[in-house]
Amino acid sequence: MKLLKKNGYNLCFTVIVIALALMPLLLLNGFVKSTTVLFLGKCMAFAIVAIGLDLIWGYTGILSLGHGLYFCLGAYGMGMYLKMVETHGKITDFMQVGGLTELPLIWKPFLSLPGTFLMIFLAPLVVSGLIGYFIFKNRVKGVYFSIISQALTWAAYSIFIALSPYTNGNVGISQIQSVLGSLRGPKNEGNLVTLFYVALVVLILIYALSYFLVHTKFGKILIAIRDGENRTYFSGYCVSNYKNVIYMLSAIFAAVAGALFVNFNGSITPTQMSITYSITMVIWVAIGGRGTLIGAVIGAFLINLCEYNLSSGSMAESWQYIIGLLFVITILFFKGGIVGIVKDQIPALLQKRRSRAEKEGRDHQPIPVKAEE
Amino acid sequence: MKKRMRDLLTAVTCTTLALSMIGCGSSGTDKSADSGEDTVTVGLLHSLTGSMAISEGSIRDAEVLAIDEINADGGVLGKQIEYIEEDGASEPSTFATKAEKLLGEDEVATVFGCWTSSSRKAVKQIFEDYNSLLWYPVQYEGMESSKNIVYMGAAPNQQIVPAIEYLLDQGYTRFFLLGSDYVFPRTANMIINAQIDAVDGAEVVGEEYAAMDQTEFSSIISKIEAAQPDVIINTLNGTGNVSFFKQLADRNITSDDMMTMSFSIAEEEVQTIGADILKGNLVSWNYYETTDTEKNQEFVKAYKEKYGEDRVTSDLAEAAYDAVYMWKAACEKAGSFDTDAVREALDGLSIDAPEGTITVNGENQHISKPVRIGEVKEDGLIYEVSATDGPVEPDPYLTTYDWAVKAGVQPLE
Repeated sequence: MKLLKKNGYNLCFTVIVIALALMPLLLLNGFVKSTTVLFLGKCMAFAIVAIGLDLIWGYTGILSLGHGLYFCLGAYGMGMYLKMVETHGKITDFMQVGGLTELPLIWKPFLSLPGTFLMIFLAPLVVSGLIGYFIFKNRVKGVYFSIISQALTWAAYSIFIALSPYTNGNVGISQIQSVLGSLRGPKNEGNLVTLFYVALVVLILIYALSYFLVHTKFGKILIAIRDGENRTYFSGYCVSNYKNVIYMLSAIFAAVAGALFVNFNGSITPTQMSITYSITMVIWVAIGGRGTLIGAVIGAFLINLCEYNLSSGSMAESWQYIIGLLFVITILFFKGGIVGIVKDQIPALLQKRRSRAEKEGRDHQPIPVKAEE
Repeated sequence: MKKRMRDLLTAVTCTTLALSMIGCGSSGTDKSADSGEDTVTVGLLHSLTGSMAISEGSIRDAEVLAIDEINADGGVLGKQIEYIEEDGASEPSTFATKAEKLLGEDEVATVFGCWTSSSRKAVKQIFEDYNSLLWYPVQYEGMESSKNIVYMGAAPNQQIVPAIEYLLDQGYTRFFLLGSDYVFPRTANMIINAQIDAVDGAEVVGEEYAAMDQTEFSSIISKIEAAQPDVIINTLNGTGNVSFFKQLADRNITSDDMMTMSFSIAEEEVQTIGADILKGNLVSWNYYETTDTEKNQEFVKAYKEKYGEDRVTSDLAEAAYDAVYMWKAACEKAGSFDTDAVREALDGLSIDAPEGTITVNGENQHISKPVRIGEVKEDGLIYEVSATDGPVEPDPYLTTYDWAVKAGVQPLE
């Protein structure tokens, strides 16, 4: 019981991990389809972005509405590497249509896999570092930060579309295989399973790192910043540096997620960078429950699985209303999201009922108890 | 005790949630294309929500109409067609996920779908990996051919090239190119530039791109006025068209002052923009609601009966409608729903469509179809002013045009 009390969240995460780890086995035995496994792979990528967002929003109180930018930095980097594997390092068709005759310098580091990995860390690090430095140093916070993050993402989105010889405009990078080759068809099931486990390991590592981080002194300071930024300043901490570090870390998480996503998805377009999509990411965290890490994971999986299953057949035209309603209800009545419902709302309800029952027992009054509430 | 209770509850509920999530992900329906039952399942993959829903809805309607007609007529190879609808939500990666679902989970016989080039490119690899067929009903920028896609719409040489030829014939010499900033206008203008460069006495006097959702055109209109073209080649898409033509009208510029030739305005767009603003302007398509064939009268009548008198048919809806019939004809010729057999049967296959007789070119899986230049009239319909003699062979890479080969508009490989 003590173990459970201390590690309720971790236990829940372990259960999710075990369930996910069983998926490829079920696939090999024919219980689930390969498409399900592939989709769960994408969901793991979404869960990783969500963890990053939870770190800055749930723990530090920085609401970024522009994480699609970092997601796309990682995804485009990986996508470009995969595209150049297809073209054997030559320029791609869209570069040729755009009038380029040789590979632009910015894509040169993506010719090799180690270079690509390095850039997937460096690109978001530099971009978020610069943005964070100027914004946090100037003590821009709250809703103003959210607006700036949105505007910057919009600017990046426009640039990616306008620079079509370099990025293929709004078509993005498509017709690519994963790092391991094709993921589809029975003979490529091995590739899919391997990639799936790689993604799972990355998810576990990122969760563990985040969990470790929020339980250190560093994490406590983040929470202090969230709950009382000025007090933290007065206590002698350089708040802007802490904010910047955690912002850069969550940008890197988003880029790693993007790189995983493009492997599963086989294409990346600027849509993933749009404001709408960036807000969707925040919604995963809000629904799951912020400031808990596990909430972000649950939210990312739950919302995406719901969308996946609801948006077909007879519901195809109305599914967005259902999901929209879910959002509104959660935001209005359950601030803590799903985790909050389980952790606070339900026990509170039970407790209320128990204390009422006790009271009634004491008073010996034969009032008929209402059946259900 | 209370605290323990609460944590226990947390864990238990989280566990159930996690399990149910994963369970709900794997609850696939087991429908096989060739299951020996008396139905065959196909997929419809369009955006039913999001910004493209308004356009893609009409082609989906046309596909459903064709499926219903075929079912009422006894089905394909004696099997009734069932369709599974998936929503692409106007987002290419959702299209990819849903294509994956239709092919891998539902195992449909074939898929009718997509509109934007980005959605087509996002699903192309998936169709190739699963070796299935996608029926793509929209005119597009060309420079592509996949053995797993049947391109039912026009290639550039069946829409853009003849339209420019027509304008040159009519004596237009100063062209202004205006488009939305995405792949179709960019590629179209690359082709048009090459085509006009090869003609003495004709020139492109300006080229401008607007953002996809741009509604403010005054600076572009000023540039157009300064460049003094005699015709604007318009490849704007969607809402941009409405604002552009309204702002042209506000400046009292009509088709008499400056002609426009549009490649993305069909009957439905005329309805939204307003016939009084558009009247007199030119468009280029393969089919209009007014196209005079017997098949078309039946098609227009059936479409309006099913969806309402105020609905109009368009080139895109017609191509989508043809796609279903073409698939039926191919299955019947092949005697099977198998992709390879159907593809083999497609080569040289002809059907009688509302736009006239159309034939599949087996080499590039595009359709040879007639090209019609049309003029918008006051009643909101488009009337043919010129047409090619008979169908035009598709040439997505423009290899049969000297000027295109010389200018090197072909892509790599």
